[in-house]
Amino acid sequence: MNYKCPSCAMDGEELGRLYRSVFTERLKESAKRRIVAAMAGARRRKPRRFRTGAMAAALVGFVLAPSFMPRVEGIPSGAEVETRLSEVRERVFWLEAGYEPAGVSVDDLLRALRRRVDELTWDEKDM
Amino acid sequence: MDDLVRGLKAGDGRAYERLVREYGDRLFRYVARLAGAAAAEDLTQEVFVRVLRSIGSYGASGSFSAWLFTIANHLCVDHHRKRKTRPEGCGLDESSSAESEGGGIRELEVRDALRHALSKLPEEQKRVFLLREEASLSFKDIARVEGCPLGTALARMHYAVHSLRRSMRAYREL
Repeated sequence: MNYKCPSCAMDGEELGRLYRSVFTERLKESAKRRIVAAMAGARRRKPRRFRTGAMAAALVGFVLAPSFMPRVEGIPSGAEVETRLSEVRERVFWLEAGYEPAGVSVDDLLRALRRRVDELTWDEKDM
Repeated sequence: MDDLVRGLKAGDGRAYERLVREYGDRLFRYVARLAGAAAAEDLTQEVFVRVLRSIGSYGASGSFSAWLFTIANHLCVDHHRKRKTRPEGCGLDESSSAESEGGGIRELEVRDALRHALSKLPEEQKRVFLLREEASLSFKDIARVEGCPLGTALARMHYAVHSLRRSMRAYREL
């Protein structure tokens, strides 16, 4: 519903007609085209920002997600399995070499290994 | 929700054009009278760009025109604050008006008188008058744009019309 002031509706209408008859400026066509182009630009920027943001979020998620993933009891993670395997391999190596590595420094182990190799060499010689 | 708003929300290029064609001239004149001719084109563009950026938040409950002219109003107020001075006269200069009008001397005189009378109005009365005559908004929408009760919008229009009529008495026969 369109409201009108009862006391000045007629005056207002007459004045409005006068107003519209003398003020009829228009935006230039070139300005209209510029505005539409500016609006298209404003519209384009948003999805681009969104795409960049989404990509960044996906990347961060991809990198960080494993550390935030809930652990399932009893099932070791891939990294844990790798660590354990390398421990087992090392242990097997030293056991095969005839040494127990627990509580022994790496240098000690290397020295022991060299000795062992020398011994083996001598043993072989003796054999 | 009408097609125009739906098109704008969907990012349809034809909707942008329709928006500028339908509202461009009215908005341009409204902004020119409030903020001055020099800034009118840039401010009109800024209004449209803001409309587009915020179209997602526009709900179908209110009138689109009222929403659009509210943005224009806010931009004009910001513009005044930045300039810290009121615009000279109330809008377009002589040359741009004459260029678009191409009217005779008498018409130029009437236009000048009306422009002068409009510039003498208090800001809130001027805004209500322009929202009615330039933007063709209903008084209900004008009240929404101005953030005032309907009766206040009507009273402002009433005082604006009376002041303008007093100023334009000499041109009554027009």
